[in-house]
Amino acid sequence: MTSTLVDDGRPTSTKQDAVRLLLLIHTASGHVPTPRPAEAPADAVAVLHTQVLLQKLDFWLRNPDYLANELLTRYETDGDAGDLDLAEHILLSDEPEVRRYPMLRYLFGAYEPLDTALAMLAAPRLVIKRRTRQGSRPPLDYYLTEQGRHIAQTIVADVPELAYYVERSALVADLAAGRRGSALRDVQYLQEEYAETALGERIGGIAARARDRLARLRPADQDGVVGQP
Amino acid sequence: MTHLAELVDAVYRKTGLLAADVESVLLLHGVPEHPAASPTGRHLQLHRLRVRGMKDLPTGPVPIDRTFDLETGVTVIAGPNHCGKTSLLELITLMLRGSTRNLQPDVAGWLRSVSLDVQVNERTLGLRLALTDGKAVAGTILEGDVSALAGADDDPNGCVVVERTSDEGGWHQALETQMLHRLSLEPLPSYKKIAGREIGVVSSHGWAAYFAALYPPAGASTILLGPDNNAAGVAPRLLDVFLDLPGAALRARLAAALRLLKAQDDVRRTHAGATAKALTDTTAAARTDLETARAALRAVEPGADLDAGAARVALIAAQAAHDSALTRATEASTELASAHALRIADRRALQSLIEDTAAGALFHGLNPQACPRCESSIDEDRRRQESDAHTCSVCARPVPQSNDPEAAAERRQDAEEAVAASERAEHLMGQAVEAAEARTVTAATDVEKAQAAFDRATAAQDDSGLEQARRAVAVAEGALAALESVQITDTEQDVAVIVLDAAHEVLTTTVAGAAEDLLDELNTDIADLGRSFGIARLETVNLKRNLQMPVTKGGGYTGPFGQQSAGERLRLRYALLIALLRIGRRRSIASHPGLLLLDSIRAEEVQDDDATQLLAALVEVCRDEPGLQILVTTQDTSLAGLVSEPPATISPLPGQDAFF
Repeated sequence: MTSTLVDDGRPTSTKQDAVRLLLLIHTASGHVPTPRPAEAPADAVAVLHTQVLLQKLDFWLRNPDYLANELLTRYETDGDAGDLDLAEHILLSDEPEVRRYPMLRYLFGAYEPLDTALAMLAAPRLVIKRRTRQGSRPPLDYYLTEQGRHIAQTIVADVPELAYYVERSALVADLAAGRRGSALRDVQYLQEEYAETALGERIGGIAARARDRLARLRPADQDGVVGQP
Repeated sequence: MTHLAELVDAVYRKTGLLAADVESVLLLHGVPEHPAASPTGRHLQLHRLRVRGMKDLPTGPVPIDRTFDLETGVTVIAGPNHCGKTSLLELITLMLRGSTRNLQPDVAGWLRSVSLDVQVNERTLGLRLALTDGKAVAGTILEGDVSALAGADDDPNGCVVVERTSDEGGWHQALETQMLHRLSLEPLPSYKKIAGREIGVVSSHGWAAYFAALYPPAGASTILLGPDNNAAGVAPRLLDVFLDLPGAALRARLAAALRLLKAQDDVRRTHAGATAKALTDTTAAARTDLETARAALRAVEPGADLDAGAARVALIAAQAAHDSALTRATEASTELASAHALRIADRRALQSLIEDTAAGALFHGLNPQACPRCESSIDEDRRRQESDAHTCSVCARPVPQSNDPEAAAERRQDAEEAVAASERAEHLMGQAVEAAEARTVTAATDVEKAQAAFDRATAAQDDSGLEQARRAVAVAEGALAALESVQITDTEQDVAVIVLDAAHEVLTTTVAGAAEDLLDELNTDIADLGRSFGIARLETVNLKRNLQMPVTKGGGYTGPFGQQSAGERLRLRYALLIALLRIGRRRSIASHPGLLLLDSIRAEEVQDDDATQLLAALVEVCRDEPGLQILVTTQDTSLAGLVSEPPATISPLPGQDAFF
């Protein structure tokens, strides 16, 4: 099995990308504004603003170590033990390695060409992208159609093989919590591995550092087994 | 207790030394083997003095030739000052002692010859001396009867020539020999310390010392008995001799020898003691050195049996094993990383297969609605072509057939098996890494042990290590053994000193015992004579053998001899000499020879009455002691006439104011 791995330059298959993006747009999108924008397709039921936000949400999904690190940050801020437990679950498993699909760093932060996967969603008319009709460089919006929502809900309900993406897209949406794409990029830039990655290179992992941080936050005398695989 | 057998026995009992050793020492120091025959008596009597010379007067040379016939009893030599009274006594001294005491230089200048006929015990000697410029040049000692000697002033005239001398020293030595021998007197040795030296000297005092008892010093002297230059210890010996105390001379000789030997022995023992102390210190230091060397050897000895070569091989082997273990551990870690990466890859592949299959099934069922590029709707023709010709209704390429379920299941099984295999491989590699790391730790410990063994082995075999330590111990043992074999026994007292000390003690006791009642008798006589000589209120004297003589006068006042007045000292000196003489006669022991030369009995400090009384008393003593001969000088020409029985008198020739 070599077709979709990092070795041939693309870490994931187009179908996996398509499922991931569909679930992210489904989970993180909001209502179509009222009055409806002129460019909004007639069958659109929700919209996710800007490609930057989509790329940043996708970064967390494709980099469990960054995701766990952000959970630790939220734990330090909010003190929710659930975040600590979940971060520990991620970091003490193979997930940061097995589920790591590195992204390129581009001008606006983590970036991966999404056109092929979006085409796979556009052809059956599940997601339709439209540019806002304003400004010189109008951002892209992603409209979820009735059919797109239906398929997403089918995945959530009936395809256990893809349950990982369902859970993680929900978590990522929750972490983003309505923040704009540029705000998430700023958060992600706080990690020096991310910030120091040259433009066009794949962003390095922070699993080891996140595990150290976890060990500091949950001393060994507590109920965890921090540090042991 | 004065001869060898008795003294050996006494010393043996005192010291416990071997009798043979004691005898050897005593013999060497002149203890006689047999008791010496006691001298029957000592007697000196002057018969005739003839003085000849040539005086250079302004009127021309004038020959001098005077003869004085001398009798026993008191003879008063009377004349004015500077008439030659004392010179007469000095000329007698020159002839009898062998040297003058204080002859006037002008007399010595004109003197050409002196003759003195003198009875010594039973024999009469003719002493003849020729002088030039006051110095003795030729001396002869003759022996013959009195009348023959009277004609033998210039040649022997039938008399026996006993001795001839040719200079001053010879004359003195001849008298020394003849007088000591004939009067049974021994030289008196005495020990004298010398400033700045550890060991003093023994010097001999002979006839001159005894002669001081014949010709006592003048009134002002503080000496009771003996020569003016009182050599240490000689005067008390004179007393012992004149009291004829048995062993007195022997004791004096042993005492001097003992003091000299003791001084030498003390020096030797002091030096030996210092040497012994140095030896003790050095030995102690050597013992410490040995202990130090042994401790150093003990420190390096544990490595002595190690083979440095073998230890080196073992160390190299251990280092090689460690390197190998390190390499293996590194390799295992690399292999583990590879296995891990492979397992992750296999997991991802399986995961992707599962998800891809599920997503494929989902999307495959969806019909394209529009072109993703232009969003144009897919028309019915294209849908039919896809259905009939299996070409994509969007891009018109052949559509891949839906997956064969069996092939898909096979691929999934392959992927799962790959994951299982890579998980097992990673687990095994993990164990291999742990084992390799454990081996590395063990190998590192082995290297440390081997290094330590090698270090010990090389240290022990290093020249500065074991061998040097062994050599140091051997040297220290040798030094200590050599020192311990040395014995310093010289610190013990010399046997001769012990023997002489004991003999001297025995003789001292003997002499002291013999002296005891003699001294009482002597003291009584001295006091009686002192009183008869005119010492007012004299009660008792207490002469001791060391010649201290406290004098007790009226009122119980007691003072030493030296604190008496000059006239009293003079009288006490005379009293002692006459008392000695008397006691000798009384007890038939050899004592004072019975000749006294008394110069200036009437000194300035002596009152006229006293001088008369002294002369009268001397006359009386002589009447009681036949043979006693006393020559007295005085400037008081009338003194003799004041005595009830006037003594013989020598005066300048009529019309002259001097004897010569």
